Amino acid sequence: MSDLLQVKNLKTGFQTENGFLPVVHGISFHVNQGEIVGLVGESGSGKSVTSLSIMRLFHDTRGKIADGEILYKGENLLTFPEKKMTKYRGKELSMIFQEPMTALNPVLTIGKQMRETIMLHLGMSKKEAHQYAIEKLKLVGIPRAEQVMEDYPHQLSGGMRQRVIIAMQISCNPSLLIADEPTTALDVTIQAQILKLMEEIQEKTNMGILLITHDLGVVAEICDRVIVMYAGRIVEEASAVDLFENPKHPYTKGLMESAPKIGSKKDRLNSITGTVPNPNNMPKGCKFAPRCPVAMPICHEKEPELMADGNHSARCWLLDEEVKKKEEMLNA
Amino acid sequence: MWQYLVKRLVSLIPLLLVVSFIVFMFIHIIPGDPARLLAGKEATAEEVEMARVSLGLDKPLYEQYFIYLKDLLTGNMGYSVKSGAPVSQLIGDRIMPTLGLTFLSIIWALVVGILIGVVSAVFRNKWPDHLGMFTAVSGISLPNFWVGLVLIQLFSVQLGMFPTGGAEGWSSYIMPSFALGAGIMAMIARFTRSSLVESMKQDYIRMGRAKGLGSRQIIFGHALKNSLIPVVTVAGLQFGFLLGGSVVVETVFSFPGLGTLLIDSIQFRDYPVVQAEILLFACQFIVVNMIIDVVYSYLNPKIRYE
Ligand SMILES: Nc1ncnc2c1ncn2[C@@H]1O[C@H](COP(=O)(O)OP(=O)(O)OP(=O)(O)O)[C@@H](O)[C@H]1O
Ligand SMILES: [Mg+2]
Repeated sequence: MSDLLQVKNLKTGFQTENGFLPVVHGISFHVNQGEIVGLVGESGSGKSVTSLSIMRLFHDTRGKIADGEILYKGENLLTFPEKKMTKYRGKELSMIFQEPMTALNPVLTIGKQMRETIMLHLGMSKKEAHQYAIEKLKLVGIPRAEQVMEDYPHQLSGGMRQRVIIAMQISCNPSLLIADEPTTALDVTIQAQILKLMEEIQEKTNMGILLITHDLGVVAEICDRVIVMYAGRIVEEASAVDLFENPKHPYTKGLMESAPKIGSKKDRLNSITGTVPNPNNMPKGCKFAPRCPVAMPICHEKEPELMADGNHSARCWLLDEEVKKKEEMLNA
Repeated sequence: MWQYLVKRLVSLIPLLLVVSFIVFMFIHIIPGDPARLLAGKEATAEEVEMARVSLGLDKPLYEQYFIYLKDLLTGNMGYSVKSGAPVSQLIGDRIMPTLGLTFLSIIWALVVGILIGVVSAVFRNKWPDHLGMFTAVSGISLPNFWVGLVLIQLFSVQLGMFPTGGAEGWSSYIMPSFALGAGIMAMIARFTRSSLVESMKQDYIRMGRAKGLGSRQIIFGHALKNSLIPVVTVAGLQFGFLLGGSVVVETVFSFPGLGTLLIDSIQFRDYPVVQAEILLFACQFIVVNMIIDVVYSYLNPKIRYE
């Protein structure tokens, strides 16, 4: 099956006083139709910047896509004039944000915010859009949907709001849904419900989902394939099964050891010491080397390439046969 | 919404009572004999006594207050010392021009102020923004009588476009209402700008873009309503003072309204008229505040549902 989304060598960063500061360093990946792909990494690794790049949502910020291609059904979104991109947002590709509490406009009713998109993209009248919106709200499991249409966001709980947002963002049947930590801000029990809902919707609509999370438990639960990101780079990519059975990158292993069971609110990645390096002050070699328990001298000198073994690839010197041999000789 | 309105209206009753009591006490608080004050400067001793009885000033204070209230409700506000005409008639002659003037200046202030604010926010740090904010700072720092004088000099004396004063025809309203509203307009422009810039950074704006809304829908459909909440609060306070400002502006334009009537009455110590005007000013303040509250609750659903 052809790729629904193909990101090629994407470089994104921010305009600062000291010039352009890259945050995403030439990453490439794809999402197929009907597939849920997890994008995992610690806070600050560039997951949100990646998803905003795909949607081209850098209005009113200093964010800028410097290089690369984002092919959606074969068309490079980065060459679209803003007007055409506007038509695609919400209709072809859609996005759910981390913060359901602030993502809805507080002064407009849910109904107004639901209808708006539907009327815009599906060309329905207000009345038709209203009925259609109610159906969508019911689809995401909102009780008293007619009533909720008249409500304002502050009258709903966080979980309800996230459901509303999901309903809103899938209402025009997009082929690709980007969900940026859709459950992080929610209660444990609600988290599981929302994930289940997304899985159900995916099965019904066969859309592709790029699910961003820092929670490997979530990945294990619903993802088909996983991309692990660190400091703006992809460090490992594999099917979910492969990744959990045979993690190759020390960072991924670290994530797994520290992964909380799904739902638990425990401190995130507590077994990896240190933090993601600041984009202003990146280490020279492998960006993970300063925190890596098995780092070798070469790791501090030279950054490894992404090395593929079938459909499983990782960016680590340990996978390089020659480096490995040398290391073994030294140790022997 | 209706429930809220009714609640607000009912809550006005005690406030109006307090205001009317203070205004009623006005004539008793001024040093001197109220009967003498109300009878006028040239009244003889007998005339003063007659006034005392006819005005009921010989009765106990609380009774006087009830009579005053009753008279108010029937539209009787006493008689002018200067002309002997009923105060209600004097006020009635002057109220429409002043209401027209203040209403027009509110429209100016809102429409032009919000427009400048939106344009400045949209073209942030570009020349329309700089121009808009320069205008706004000027508007805030220049006193309204000066703006009035400059307008007269420019548009009446030099260009002959508008009359220098009076209240004949709509064209005589344009300059005074502009002079009266300029300060508030400028303030609204500045608040709208900063508030809109702030709104545009909110999550729901990015969400709106992710839904595929265009910039126009984002600004007018989503950001502006949120931005106007603080603007309304600030503007509302200012509108309450408009009648006060109209005293100055009406004088500059020799405009036959409540402001000039007040000045004349104070100069002549025409206390019944002054008293009635104070009551009107207070009521206007209350009514404006009430309207602002309603607008505010319309804009901000969180208030409405409390
Ligand atoms: N508007 C911005 N201006 C400047 N730098 C930014 C901006 N937004 C993000 N960054 C930087 O980009 C880097 C990646 O941020 P990003 O939000 O993509 O991380 P993330 O992986 O989504 O983390 P989290 O799990 O906390 O959401 C961070 O170093 C951050 O400081
Ligand atoms: Mg993020």
